[in-house]
Amino acid sequence: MKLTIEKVTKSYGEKVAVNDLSFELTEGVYGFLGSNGSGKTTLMRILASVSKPTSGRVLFDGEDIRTLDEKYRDMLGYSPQHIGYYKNFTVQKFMLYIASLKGIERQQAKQKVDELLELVNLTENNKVKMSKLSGGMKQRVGIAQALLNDPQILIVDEPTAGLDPKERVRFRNLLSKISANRIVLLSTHIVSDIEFIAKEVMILKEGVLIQKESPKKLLEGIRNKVWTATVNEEEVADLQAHFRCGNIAHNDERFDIRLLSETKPHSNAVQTKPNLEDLYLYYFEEDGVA
Amino acid sequence: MKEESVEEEIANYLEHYTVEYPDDDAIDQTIESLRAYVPEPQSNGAAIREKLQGLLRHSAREISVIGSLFWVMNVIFFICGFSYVLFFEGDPYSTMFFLAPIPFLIGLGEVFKGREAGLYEIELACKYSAQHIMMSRLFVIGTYNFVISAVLICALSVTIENILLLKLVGYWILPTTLVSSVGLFLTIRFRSSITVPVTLAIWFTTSMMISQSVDMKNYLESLSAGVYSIALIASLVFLFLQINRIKRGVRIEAND
Ligand SMILES: Nc1ncnc2c1ncn2[C@@H]1O[C@H](COP(=O)(O)OP(=O)(O)O)[C@@H](O)[C@H]1O
Ligand SMILES: [Mg+2]
Repeated sequence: MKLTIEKVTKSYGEKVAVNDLSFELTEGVYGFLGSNGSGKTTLMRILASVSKPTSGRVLFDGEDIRTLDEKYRDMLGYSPQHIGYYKNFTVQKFMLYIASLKGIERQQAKQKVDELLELVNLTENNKVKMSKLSGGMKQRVGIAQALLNDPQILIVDEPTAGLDPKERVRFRNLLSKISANRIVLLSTHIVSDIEFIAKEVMILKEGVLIQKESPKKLLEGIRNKVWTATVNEEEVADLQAHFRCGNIAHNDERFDIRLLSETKPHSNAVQTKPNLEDLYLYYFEEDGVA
Repeated sequence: MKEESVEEEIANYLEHYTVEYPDDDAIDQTIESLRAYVPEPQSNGAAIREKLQGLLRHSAREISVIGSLFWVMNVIFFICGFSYVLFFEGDPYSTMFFLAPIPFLIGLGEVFKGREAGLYEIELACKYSAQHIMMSRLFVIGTYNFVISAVLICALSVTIENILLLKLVGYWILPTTLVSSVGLFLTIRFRSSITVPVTLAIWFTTSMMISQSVDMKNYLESLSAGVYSIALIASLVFLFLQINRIKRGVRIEAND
């Protein structure tokens, strides 16, 4: 199973949202990482065949997904960034409706809906109106409907936006449960969502793919560049003016600061083990760099 | 090394790689083995029957999605119209004229509901995509419009003496096709939450104006059957074009 993205560009008028992307995906979880407006949603909508690229194409096992058409959508599960619903729908009715759009027989659909609502922990809410659900619950319904047809390709856009930390952990566990034997794509601007579950992290910046690597490899790339130092208030300001700084924490009268630098940034700075937060900082926070 | 000798060397080297042209047998064999992957052309009748069955199946599902307000409201409209003619001596032709396109116009809100509710994203990514859904809903509201209009025509022709059936039908078909196609044209391009009330308001005022003005009515009735037919055909073609547009897929944004 292979999804090939071939020179895909999408522009909205003058604005190029996704710029000449080419890459390949096989079974496993991929995390798209990028700040707001970097083109994650645009790319995912193209992969979900909801939007057409301005140029380039997407192939599934060598065949254009436009040609596969219904056959492609039959293998696809897509949970968009914003889950829409009809006002009068309950969770269960919503699920059954989507099931029928996916061509699932009524009897089978009922069983599948129960099963999936169980999986996303919404069994008790199945008679609740969609409009009464919290953000996190809606996201879970989004995931559940995407799984109805047991898709080989699962695309989930910003699944953890609006979730509280507990729900986030639950989501990560859910995802690792369901990710076997599929191509799973999820986008996020929150690093910790994908740190441990992604086979590869793809970093998008202004519509361009700047990295596609395993988290481990990516972290190796910044191995000698992450430092911590304990400094006073003036020094904090000075460091912030010259380096990309992450966490700053109080430590008695002084501050522990985490920062990125090619060379030793301060006399009492020590190197530390990088994490994906540092990586994000490395790629996305330009300001403060001398 | 001189350039020429390099070229020579490459040429010699490439000599080893003469490509043999495949013989006819091999070509035939390849074609035969590929034939298995070419879909059997379906007979025309079977394909149409399958499409029709699909449409009916999808329509049955969509009936439950269309809000009950839609069904009820239109029935009430038509009952009011009928009572108006029956008890207040209203003109049956103007009433028919006025009511004809209303269910379809109101129904457009239901056809495009997914786009407005933001469910369109998910619908587009399903096996039976948003196009299927909209086509079936159009079919449902079109049929509904047809049925309640037909019921009203029957009711009027049974209860009102000396009614001219053909004239009544004439007062029904043209506004239905014309106004429906314009409503559809607009709703494909703009939000239905705007186009539905706007087209309804425009239809209310124009149809009121026409039915109030004796001159206007006389003028319209003096039009020959030929002119009527041309207008009817033109609006049917326009309607068909709009439906075809939906069949090809209405995108969420103009540049999608
Ligand atoms: N429908 C649209 N019309 C115009 N510009 C758009 C549209 N959709 C996205 N964009 C632009 O494309 C860029 C990428 O957006 P998006 O893919 O939503 O980013 P992300 O999901 O990473 O936040 C943004 O600059 C956005 O303004
Ligand atoms: Mg987005």
